[in-house]
Formats: sequence, structure tokens, C-alpha cells
Amino acid sequence: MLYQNILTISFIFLAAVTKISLFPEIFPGHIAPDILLILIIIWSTHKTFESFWLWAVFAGLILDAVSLERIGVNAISFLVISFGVDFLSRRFFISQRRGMFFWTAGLVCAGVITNYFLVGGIHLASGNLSAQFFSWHDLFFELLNNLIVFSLIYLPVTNFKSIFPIEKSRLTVK
Amino acid sequence: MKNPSDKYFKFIAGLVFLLVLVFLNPKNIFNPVRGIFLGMAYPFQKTFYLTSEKTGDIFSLFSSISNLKSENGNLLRENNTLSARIAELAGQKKENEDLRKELQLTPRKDFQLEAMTVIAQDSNGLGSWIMTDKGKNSGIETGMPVIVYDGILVGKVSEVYANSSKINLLTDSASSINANDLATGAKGILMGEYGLGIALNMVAQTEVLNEGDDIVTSGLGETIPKGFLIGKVAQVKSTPDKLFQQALITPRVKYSELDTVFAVKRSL
Repeated sequence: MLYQNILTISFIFLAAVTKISLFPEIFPGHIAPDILLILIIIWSTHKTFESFWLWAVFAGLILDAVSLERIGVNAISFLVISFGVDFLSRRFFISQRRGMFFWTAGLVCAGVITNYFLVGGIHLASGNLSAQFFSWHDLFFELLNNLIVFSLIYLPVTNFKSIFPIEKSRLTVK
Repeated sequence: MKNPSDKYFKFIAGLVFLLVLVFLNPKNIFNPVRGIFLGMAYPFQKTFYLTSEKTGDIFSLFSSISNLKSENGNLLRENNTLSARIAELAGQKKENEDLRKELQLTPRKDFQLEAMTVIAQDSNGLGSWIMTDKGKNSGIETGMPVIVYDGILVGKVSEVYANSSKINLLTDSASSINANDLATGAKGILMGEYGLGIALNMVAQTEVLNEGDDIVTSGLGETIPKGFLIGKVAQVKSTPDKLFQQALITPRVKYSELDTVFAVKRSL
């Protein structure tokens, strides 16, 4: 358990650094995909909100700290998205296990859009003049780049259950 | 069986706590904690950024292979043009030196510069900030101007940590610098346009602004010395209330492709 927690913290930390130092130069439009958000969504589909919400908040706080963001902005977004993913996966995934990849891809798109508006909205509400609230160009590249990264990491993350904090399945019909 | 209201309670409690954290904490109160995380991230950031630059170069090489033939032709033509211009510029060198003296522009050699490598950048594509590998330990301080090789201003140091610092680029909408038109002397305030560009605002209608003119820092009322080049006037228009003119500025360098910048520590 301790070993897995240390690994999870390491993954969260490296994902946050990757977002600001590795991805901006590589991806089109200089818009870095949010690998941490994708991990949170994948993990949230496999765990209950009650067992995962603190990890989502922790990941958001780490991302805020490393990306020079106002502390708490990404944490709020990750908490809301984790709650939303839990809500949706409980209701719609039970009979849809075969299409898990595509369902999760849909959740990633919804999560990216939610994150985009939530973070932009919080910036505006907190008086951050640097924030630009909406741009079709940015949103398009956010979705495209995040889907590229999602399709690359989905299989490794879901297959290496012993490394990543994923339980076999929590979805049961009662 | 788990009580569903537990879940909602945890969600709302977490949300309230984080909202308080975002909206009620004084500015920069978490900087010491952030500094610890940045210290841990520093080696990874440096390695990752260098790797990304190399990878980005490879991607751009692949995408440019198809254009190599036409680019080669263009470069040959450009080479001929430039050869002609070298001869022309040799004559203008002295004139330039005289002008610099007349306009009291400060040449680059008059500053103590600290070279810094970029290790991270704004990941939202807004081009609002970059992070560099030098901080308090190298004598970097908040407010120091940051330039590139040729005395071209790109931004100001906004936050300093032990071994890293955050540079707010001119395109950041919170950025505000006094500047003037080098040719006509028209004064204004240079402001970022949400990471999309730069605009020279508050220029009086009586002043003259021409497209293609160079814009430089005016050195009025701030720590940024006079005479750093910023960019060229791309378009001139009046504000909706017709009280002022506004010039859209094309920066001299691509801010998304910066790899080495210099902090201006002090005038010699």
C-alpha cells in the first residue's frame, strides 16, 4: 500500500512537470495536454469517489504548485471532474464494459471542456486579468491534444493495475 | 453499505475548502511551499524542456522536408539581397551610432546580464509566462527586465524562487510598460493582449504613429531602462471613443520559441 502510494505521488508529480516542461514545445498550438487530468479521469472510472477524492485534490494542488497557478484552481477542477466521472460511470457503465475505451474518451472530452471553463471562470472570478475566458482555437487544440495523449496512455494505465492505483472493477449490479 | 450523503458531504466540504483557499488567501502566501516543490521539480524540468526542444526540432524537421526545395530557392534569393544590404548597412553603422547617442539609447554592453535557460512555459498556449533556471541564488530579483541577445525586451521577472524564476512576457495582459515610437517619439503604454500580441495604448491623437516604426522602452517611471527594442508597429487605429490611438505591435522574437534569455541585473 505504501509502495503504491509513493508510486502514485511520483506519477502525479512527473505528470505535472511533464505538462509545463515537456509538452508545450511538442504539441500543436503550444497547448499542452493535461496528462494529469486524463489520469484522474481514468482512475476515477475505476475507483469510488469516496476512495479517490483526496487524490484528485492532491493532484490538483501539485499541478497548481508546479505550474505557478493560484493554489486551489486546478484542485477545484479535478474535484468537480472526479465527482462528475464517478456520477456518470455509476449510471452508464454497468452494461457498457466492452466500450470502456470510447466511454472514457467521451469522459475525457467532457472533462477537458469542464476543466477549460472552470479554470477560466475561476481566474476571471478571482480577478486574474491574464485569463482569456474562451477561444475556439484553444479549445479545439485542448481536445485534440488531450485525446492524442489519452489514446497513448489508456492501455498502459489500465493494464498495469499493480503499478497504477486501479482496482479490478467496482461496478456491480445489486 | 455506504451512505450516499457521505459522498456529497465530502464533495461539498472539499469544494468549500478549496474555494476559500483560492479566493481568500493573500497573494504569494504559498510561495515558500511552492518553492520546495519547484526545487524538487527543477532537475526534471530542465531535462524535460531540453528533451522537448530536441523533439520539437525533429517534428518541425519532418514537417519542413516537403518545403525544403522552395525554401532553398527563397534562401538563395534572400542571400543575394542580404549581401547587397551588408554593403548598405556598413554605411549606416556610423549613422546608427550617432543616432543612439542622440536618442540616449543604452547599448547592451552597458548592462550586467545573467544568462538564463528556459525550463518551462505557459501550457495553455497563451504565451503569458516562462520559467527559467536562475533564481535568488543567482541574484535574480523581482522586476528585473528580461531581454534576448540583441537587447530585445521580452518581459519582466515576476516571481523569484531559490533556483528558478517566473518571467511575465510582454504578451501577458497584466504586463504594462512605458514605451515610445523610435522614429516619431510618440509615447504610450505597452500592454499585453491576453497572450495573443502586444498593443501600444494611450497614445495621444496629436502624436504620430507609422506602420513599420520600431517601438522601444521609454524608461519612464520604472525599473526598465530606456532603449530596449520591443517590436514593430503592425497596425494603427483609434480607440472606440476616439480619444487615443492604439498601435498593434509585432514582437521581434517568437516568445514560444525562447530558449535562452538574459536578466538585466543592473546598469554598469
